[in-house]
Amino acid sequence: MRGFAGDAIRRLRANPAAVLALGVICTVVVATLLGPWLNPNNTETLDWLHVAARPGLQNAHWFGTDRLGRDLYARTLAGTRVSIAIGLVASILSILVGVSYGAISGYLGGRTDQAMMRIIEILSGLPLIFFVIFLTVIFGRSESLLFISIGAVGWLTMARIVRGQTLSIRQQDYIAAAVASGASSSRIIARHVVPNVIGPVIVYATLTVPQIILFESFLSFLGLGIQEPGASLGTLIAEGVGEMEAAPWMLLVPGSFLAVLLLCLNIFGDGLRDALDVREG
Amino acid sequence: MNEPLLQVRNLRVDFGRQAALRDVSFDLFSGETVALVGESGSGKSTLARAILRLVLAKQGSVEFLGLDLLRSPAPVVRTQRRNLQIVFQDPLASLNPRMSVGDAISEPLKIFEPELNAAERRQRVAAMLERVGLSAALASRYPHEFSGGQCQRIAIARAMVLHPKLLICDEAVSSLDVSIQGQIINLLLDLQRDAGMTMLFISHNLAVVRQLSHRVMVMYLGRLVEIASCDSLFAAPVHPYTRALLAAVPQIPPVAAATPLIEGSPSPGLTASGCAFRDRCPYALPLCASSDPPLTELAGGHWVACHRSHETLNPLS
Amino acid sequence: MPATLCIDELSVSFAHRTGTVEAVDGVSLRIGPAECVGVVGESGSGKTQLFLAVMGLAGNARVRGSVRFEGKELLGATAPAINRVRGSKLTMIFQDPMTSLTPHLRIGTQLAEVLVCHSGLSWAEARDVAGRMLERVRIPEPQRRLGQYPHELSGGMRQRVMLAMSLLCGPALVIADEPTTALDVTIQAQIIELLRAMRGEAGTALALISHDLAVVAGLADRILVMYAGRIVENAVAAELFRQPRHPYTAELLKCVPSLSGPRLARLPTLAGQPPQPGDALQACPFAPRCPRAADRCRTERPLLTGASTSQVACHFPLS
Repeated sequence: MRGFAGDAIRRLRANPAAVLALGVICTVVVATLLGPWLNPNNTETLDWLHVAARPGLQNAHWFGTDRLGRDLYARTLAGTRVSIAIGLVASILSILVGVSYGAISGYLGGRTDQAMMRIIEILSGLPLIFFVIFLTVIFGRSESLLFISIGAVGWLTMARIVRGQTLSIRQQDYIAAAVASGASSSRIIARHVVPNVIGPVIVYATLTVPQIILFESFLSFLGLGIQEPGASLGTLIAEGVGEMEAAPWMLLVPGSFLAVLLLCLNIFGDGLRDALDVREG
Repeated sequence: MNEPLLQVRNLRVDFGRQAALRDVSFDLFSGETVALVGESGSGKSTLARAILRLVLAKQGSVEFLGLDLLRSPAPVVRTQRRNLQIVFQDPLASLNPRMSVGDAISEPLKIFEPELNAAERRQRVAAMLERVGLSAALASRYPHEFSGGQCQRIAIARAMVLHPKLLICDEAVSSLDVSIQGQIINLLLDLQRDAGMTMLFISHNLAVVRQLSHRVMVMYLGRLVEIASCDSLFAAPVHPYTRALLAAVPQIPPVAAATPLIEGSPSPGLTASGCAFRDRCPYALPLCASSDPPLTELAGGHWVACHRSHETLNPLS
Repeated sequence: MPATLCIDELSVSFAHRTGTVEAVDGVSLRIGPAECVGVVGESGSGKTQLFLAVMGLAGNARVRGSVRFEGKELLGATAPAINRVRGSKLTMIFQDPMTSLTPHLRIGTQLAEVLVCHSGLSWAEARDVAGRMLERVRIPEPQRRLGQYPHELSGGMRQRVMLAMSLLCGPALVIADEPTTALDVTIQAQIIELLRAMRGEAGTALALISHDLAVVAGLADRILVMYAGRIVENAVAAELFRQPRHPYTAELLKCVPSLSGPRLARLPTLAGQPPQPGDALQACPFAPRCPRAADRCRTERPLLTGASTSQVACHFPLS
């Protein structure tokens, strides 16, 4: 396969840690989607016979149950699903908005750029938690609000990164050649600027997904995010903390899922950056 | 005498407080190859970019096919860009690394001939690749898969696909190997001959310039100091800088320079008043410090900006 | 006379994703005391890699063969032994004057450092010597320059500073890698004139690497032509230009446009392009582009043969 994608994929394949990390991430994703089919328990049924049961294979509660008798296997998988979904959606949102904003600001330059950057700086100055609380107070708690508020803040750094890349690309001869060929600014931004900043964007996105998941977990831990009976890794961990001595598996299961997910995303993100950055020869 | 294709009048470009181009005026006529020579700081690349409106000019006008390129609104200028193209010095840097070669060449077609469908565009791209000596099958490849010389051919194909009336070559062969330079220059000469195209060839390599230009313009610190036909300039240069430049070119077999080498390097600070070359000029007079000599015509078509251009200056005076 | 630099069968190879790549392929050469040898070649010829390996700056490359400087073997020598020689007796000037000098140190400091490290002078004495060396390389206002930073100097002046730095300890050999390529024509002429003067004075040998035959023509006693990592011709300069023996040299000379010859409707060209490290090569790497190539050239590698000042690596050399 030729082209940058082909070369990058080849280099990525040669990096065993990144490949392993990707494999684990894919396994987890598949597990969250197919897992419920393997086990008859669902996330909400209260099994009074097995309250706070230890993990084991004998009673179909493979990961044990929580204080209310809910199956931890089902809840952990559901929670992981929610966390991954939030990470994904928030990342995509921040990429779409951040890349457009940063590329336009960087390419147009001058006063437009100054104005656009001031806006980002003002927004960056807002304390994140207060912003989320503020939105929650106005719109009430909801999952979509969580997606939007996280994504709404995530694009700021993305825009800054893209603007920086755009500024350095703008001096390149191929941009001048495109202008000389009569291309309009929108065409140049879309066809010449954005494809050449995608590298750092993808890498930054993979490295922020874990940050977003962690942030969501933190919000849910504080009670601002996902609420009962919904589950996210954050809420599960919050519950688990309270039961640390009596039923440690309530913390360990979602905790290790979160830890493994974050670790693999970070390793994969590093591998991706190495694969995309290295020049030929 | 036909109407000039390009008329540049009193062009001035400033970078901060330093004048990169000062009061540059000249004409280009259809079908000719005019070389623009000069060293660093001469402003020759800035001139190319100013004509293309890639940098902002502070003063002056550039008239191309009757259109004032600097003052007309951007969309109007854009429509005329199909007739005014450029090839840059670094072939690899002038191609978008994320765009296939075929896409790069077809982009001008998409912009200016949108009525073409994809198949017709592919055909034009294939024809252009063949014309510059590359196989049409290479259209799906990416720039990093090609050598410097091949990338330059691709850049030329992109510039020529719309059959522009004026092609500016900004040091187009300077970063290529000696054995490849001739190939690219011959390609440019062929294309020019076939299309009746005008070429502005910017170079610091005087030997190359001598082989392919009809007229030569010499620049120093942002000003034109001499304009002459190629034969006249090389046989009998008038401006002291031109003479020093020609004397400095190393040759095979080595020749002892008739004109002694000039010392020092260009002093941009001198552009504020008087002749900017006076600190290095062996013939400088007090007049040169107070008055910047205008570009005046000596004989037919031979212009020189020097207070002493009417004298015969021999190396020992 | 014992040679100042004696290279035997030097090879420099890199690991590449497609396999091992030979940047320099079995090069042998000698440079005598006070001799000026020009090394010419296009991109991919290996001329820079060759001398980087001599200086021990080849990086990750695998270097095989022998490099003897004033009789002592450099390859495989201990780091202290190499450092005693590098920078004092064996020095190098690089192509890009913009990046060769440390940006945050003053010129005087960088020059004095060489003397303090190698000649054991005190900083004050070293600065004195440095100032006098700047005079020798004809830098205007040498004392003022000592206190300046590299970015305050023009390209031509920086190259003079590099030259001064390389001459400080009285080297036996100075390697100049494309010293004038990044400079303007008029400045280039000044530097060439300076190199000519330096040669006469100090009796230092000079290895001048360049892709520009004309630059080399003005300075070299002897010229080595390199192609695809090998030396293809070694001849006295005047002989090389008058009567080149290797077809590549002949074609290359035809391709160089001149200021004095006739103006041609089309420039002479050499078809194809110079091979880059990693390209598949025939036995004679020039065979695909050679007007005289025969079957033997594709299967049998031509070796460099001949007297010490007239060698050619070709099965069918021109005569």
